[in-house]
Amino acid sequence: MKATHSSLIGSLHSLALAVLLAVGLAGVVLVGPSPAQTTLPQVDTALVLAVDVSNSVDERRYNLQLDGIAKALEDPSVISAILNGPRGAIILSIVTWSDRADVALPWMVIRSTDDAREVAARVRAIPRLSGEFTCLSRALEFVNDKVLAQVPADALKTVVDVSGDGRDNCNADTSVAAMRDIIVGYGTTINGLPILEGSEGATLEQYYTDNVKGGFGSFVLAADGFDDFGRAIRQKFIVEISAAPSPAPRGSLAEGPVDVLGIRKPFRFARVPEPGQAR
Amino acid sequence: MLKGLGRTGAPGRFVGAIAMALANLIVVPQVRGADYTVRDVTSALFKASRDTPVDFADANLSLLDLSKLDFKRSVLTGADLYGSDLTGSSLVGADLSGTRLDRATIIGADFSEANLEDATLLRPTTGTGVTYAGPDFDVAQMARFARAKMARVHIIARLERADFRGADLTGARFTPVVTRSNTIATTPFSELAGADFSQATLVGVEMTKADLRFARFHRADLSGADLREARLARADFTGADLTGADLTGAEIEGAIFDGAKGLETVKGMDMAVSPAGEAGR
Repeated sequence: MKATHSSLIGSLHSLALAVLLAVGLAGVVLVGPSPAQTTLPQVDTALVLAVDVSNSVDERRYNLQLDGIAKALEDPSVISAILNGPRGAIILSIVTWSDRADVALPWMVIRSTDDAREVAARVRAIPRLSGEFTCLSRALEFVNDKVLAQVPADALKTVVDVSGDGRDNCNADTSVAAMRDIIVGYGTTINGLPILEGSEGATLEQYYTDNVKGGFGSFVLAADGFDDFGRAIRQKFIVEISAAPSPAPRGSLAEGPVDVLGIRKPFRFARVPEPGQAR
Repeated sequence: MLKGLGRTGAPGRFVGAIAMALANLIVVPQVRGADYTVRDVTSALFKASRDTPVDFADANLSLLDLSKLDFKRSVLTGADLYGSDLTGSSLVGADLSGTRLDRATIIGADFSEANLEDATLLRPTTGTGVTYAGPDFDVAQMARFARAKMARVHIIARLERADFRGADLTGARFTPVVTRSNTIATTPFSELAGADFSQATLVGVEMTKADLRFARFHRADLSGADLREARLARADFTGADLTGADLTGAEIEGAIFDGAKGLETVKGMDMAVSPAGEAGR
């Protein structure tokens, strides 16, 4: 049965009320998939943490990464950096990647200490997914196509934070550097957190500098092994959140998709025909 | 190269035209670059709503990873989705009339209430390859077509235990047809064992040689259906309308026809066989 216009408006009001209640009660908003129906939250940073869970990351190392992220979110200095931004809020998502990438934590808004603690608890509860290979290019492609394409917030800057302990070994069609350039072309900054441990430890920081890092104000901050990850991610959070936005942000949600490859015909938004009405 | 031939004068243009025509015959299937990036599509769908769907009519979306996306009743009329990955995507209520979904990956895709009239779905990837009756078969991974409009759709696929309940499959074809530009036509016949066609409209449907063992046709309208040599062992036609259907050479061992209408008009019922070769009813 088709919803009438008035019932649709009523549904939207109910949805908005539910969102407001969620903010008030939980302090954390898991933003839904229909931004056209809701007002986008104003945040300083949309931050994606892309975490390596490939074969070299055993359970201990996995827990060190997730616990490091959780502790960083609970750190008073990080919370202060979040709350003292121009808009006093960020939006965070976590992607785990190895052979394939997937969203481990959907976009969540942090605009209070309680929000940060709630998100930290969720981070610690993320079940471990593992894989064999280090498919960094595919991970960046996933982040570009499925995560950055649907940021449910109006963010002053968008940052992707890539951590891992090895270089890409998947021979994807598109190189890591090429995927980096595509993402940076949308105005996003990519920072690297190479974990210097194992056979690639001596060269990984340079690899991240050459192939991963990109965009306005980007940097590489290495962790001296997995045991040092917590320190590095905390420091990285503070720098990323405190950094000034890009002077020429591109590709924000409000502007619509940005064509970095050339002219494309624009999307057309069509009305759904009434029942019985021909298209 | 062909442009160069055109500059040699009228005979050259004639040769060029012939060469172009031959090239069009040889190059199959035709797959050109997609019109949009995955990010374009994802972003457009993200900003859309069900009352303002995105219009992808006639767009080339071939070979794109469109998995886990909610198409929010998008208009995809005439779009090319050849080889695209639609794993876990929701196409509920989408207008896919005339689309090409050949070789697409549709594991767990939901086409319920979609319009697939005149679409083609030739050799899609539909599952992990486990046997439909086996313990590892996950029915949630099978594409769903409940209440979809699928008149004249052309399907050659493994869609075991797929949900076609209430779908309109009038004039649909589940059989290979040799065409000029379609190497896919060499595929085996459709495997639809355990599929549920309850209350579906299957008027004039072509299911020749299709594997329909254990399929359910409760109160389905199969009038004029072509089921010649179909594998119908233990299929359930309770309350179905089989007026004028053709079951010549079909395997009907253990099939249930309780309350079925029009059995007296079914062609070839006396020539339907059990797997052991025994004549049917």
